[in-house]
Amino acid sequence: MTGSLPVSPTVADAAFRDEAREWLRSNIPRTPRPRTGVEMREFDTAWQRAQWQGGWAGVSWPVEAGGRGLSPLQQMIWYEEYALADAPYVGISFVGLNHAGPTLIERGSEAQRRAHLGPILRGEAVWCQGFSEPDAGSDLAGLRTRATVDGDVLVVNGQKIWTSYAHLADFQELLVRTDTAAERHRGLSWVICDMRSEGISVRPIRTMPGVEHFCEVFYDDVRIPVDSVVGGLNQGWRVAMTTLSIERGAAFMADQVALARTVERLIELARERTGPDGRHAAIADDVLARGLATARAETAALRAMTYATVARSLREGGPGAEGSLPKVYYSDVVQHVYQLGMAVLGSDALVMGTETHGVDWVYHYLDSFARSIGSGTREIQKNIIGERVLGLPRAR
Amino acid sequence: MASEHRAGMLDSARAVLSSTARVAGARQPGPLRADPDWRRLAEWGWFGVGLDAAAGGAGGGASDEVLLQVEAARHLASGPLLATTLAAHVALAAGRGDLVTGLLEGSRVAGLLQPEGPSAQLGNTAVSGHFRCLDCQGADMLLVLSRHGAALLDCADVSMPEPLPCIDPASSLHVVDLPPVHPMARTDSTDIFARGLLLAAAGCVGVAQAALDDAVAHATTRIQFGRPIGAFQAIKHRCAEMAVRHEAARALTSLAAAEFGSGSGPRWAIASAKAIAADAALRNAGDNVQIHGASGFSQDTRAHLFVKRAWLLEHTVASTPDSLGAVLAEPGAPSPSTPDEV
Repeated sequence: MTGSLPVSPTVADAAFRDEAREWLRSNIPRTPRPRTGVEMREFDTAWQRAQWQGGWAGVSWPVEAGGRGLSPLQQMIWYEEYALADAPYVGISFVGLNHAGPTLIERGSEAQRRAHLGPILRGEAVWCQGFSEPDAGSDLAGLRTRATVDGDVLVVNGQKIWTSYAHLADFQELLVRTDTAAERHRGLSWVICDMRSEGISVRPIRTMPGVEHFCEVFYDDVRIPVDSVVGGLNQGWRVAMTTLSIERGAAFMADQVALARTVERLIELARERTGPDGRHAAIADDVLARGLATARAETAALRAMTYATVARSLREGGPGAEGSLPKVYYSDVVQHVYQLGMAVLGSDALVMGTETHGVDWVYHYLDSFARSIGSGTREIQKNIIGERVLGLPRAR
Repeated sequence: MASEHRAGMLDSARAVLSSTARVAGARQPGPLRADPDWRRLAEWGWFGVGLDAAAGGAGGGASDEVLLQVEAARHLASGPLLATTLAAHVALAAGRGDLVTGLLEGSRVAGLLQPEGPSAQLGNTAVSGHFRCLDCQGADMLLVLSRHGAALLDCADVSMPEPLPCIDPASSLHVVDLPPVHPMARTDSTDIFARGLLLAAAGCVGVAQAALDDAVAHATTRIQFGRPIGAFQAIKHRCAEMAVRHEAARALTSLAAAEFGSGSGPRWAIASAKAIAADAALRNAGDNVQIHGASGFSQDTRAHLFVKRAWLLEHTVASTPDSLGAVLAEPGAPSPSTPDEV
């Protein structure tokens, strides 16, 4: 068992926790977060701006990039306090803060960093992802959206899909095929695409819980300056892998801590609501009690796995393929928790749009199906674990 | 650095485990204190690894004890390693330095007595009632372990009935009805039970890990349809699920041990570790049988031994229903603190 790593709590860490707690308590928004549309964009970007003004924007970003430059341990403390304060979900700022920004920091040019990092941190620019296509989902390298070089511009034609918030975004991290003759992983480029460019049309798609979250995006002779390519022409696969490994790392902490908070709320709810026998509290029901206890135990395990992932990142410079272990576990636990939420609600589970204990259980139950699909399906994560953690042979 | 010290300790522990017949799971009749393999483990320092140096130990705390139990279970080691480790803590808490010394040097060996039902009593002056005895054969003292405290009995004061056939061939099982017996040592500390949960969880982590390792090894070498079966997603994904379960159990058990050592973290995290780890052990052991196919169902491979050991560990210290009850009985998660070791 080689996961142990001393991470001494210093006086500075305790002081840091107090500072984070204090700032969050007095600065979190008092109004509920709208779930969709321009109102949501306004809310999320205003909250991002507030964090920037308070010096808390980009907690994982290096100071040179304008971020807070926290150590992984401090990031974990920040996210723990963030969840305890019931601070809002990162929402529309996710791709900018956790994908595009970190990718530009690692692979972007000086000019690209100067142009884009500040607006992301200040909540002025919203980014979306442009990887998946109708025929390239899990098989990302099969993507077909073409970009041909015409002088100093790329001319893009094709289609992306499942792009979260494309209808509300200013920029897109767009993965396109720039060399059709090359082996399929080698002909791709990672491009900064201005979503107001001529020739882009966006069709929002309604998700399972009923909000407009992701979109189809169509490109019809969209002209993008060649200097918007990040990390070099035809180097897009490597750049995209950078993007995805960041996503599997630190960005995951906040979700994990928030889930532990949700489980505590569910236990409170089960203590107050009448259970399936119509007489006693829900928590007195053996099946529900066992489920709730298991959920609490699983969140403890998730927290421990997150610490272990942070320790591994410190040791090895990144979460590596092992980052897929907590990801798979998280998606199982989160779905289990919201299934339990539905069970605790009894027949009120049929009613949409009610909040109990600050959680719309039905909405989140329906939304939880996305957790084992987005950013690499559960099945793709298991391939990664099987092949890159356990060393099993590839199927192909 | 603590991690380097630990890596060295683990290599050494593996070497000493490999050098004993205890690893093969065979049990010799007769007292364990006369068993050269047991003495070798004691001389290596197995039973004092977690005790403070002042008490004759190595000062490694619950974290190092957990690491050793993981190794022992991975090797399918037999004998009451867990109970003897815990017994030294009881003797220390009760001020019986003589017993601590005996346990550490291998001249005293403790089996485990777990209360069964309401008749089991752990009173101030006497222990009595119905108990289940794990690995008591060959022991010369008995660790009585309950949620509310712990005690040590001298085997000379107890008449043991004939053993029951135990699911785990490397372990022994008895059920005993004790008349009132005066304990040699006794403590009201609930720490012994908590430590016991951690060590049982650690055993489960070891089983989960060994079952995973064996499954991956088989999936890599077994050829069907012209390729290693691990290339097929039906097998590969099952192995990945085993790895996820093992990692959840390993991470939680080692974090809970570190927090137990530093006095931080909620007690329910320890019961959580036992429940999560037992689930990982049972399911990984079962999946390992399945991945081995017919040979996994035979006694020609060791796959069956992990299933059997997993059940023994499921019922060591506290079962999963007990542990989950304890998880929910406590109030909600406290303010997070920063662990001093991950």
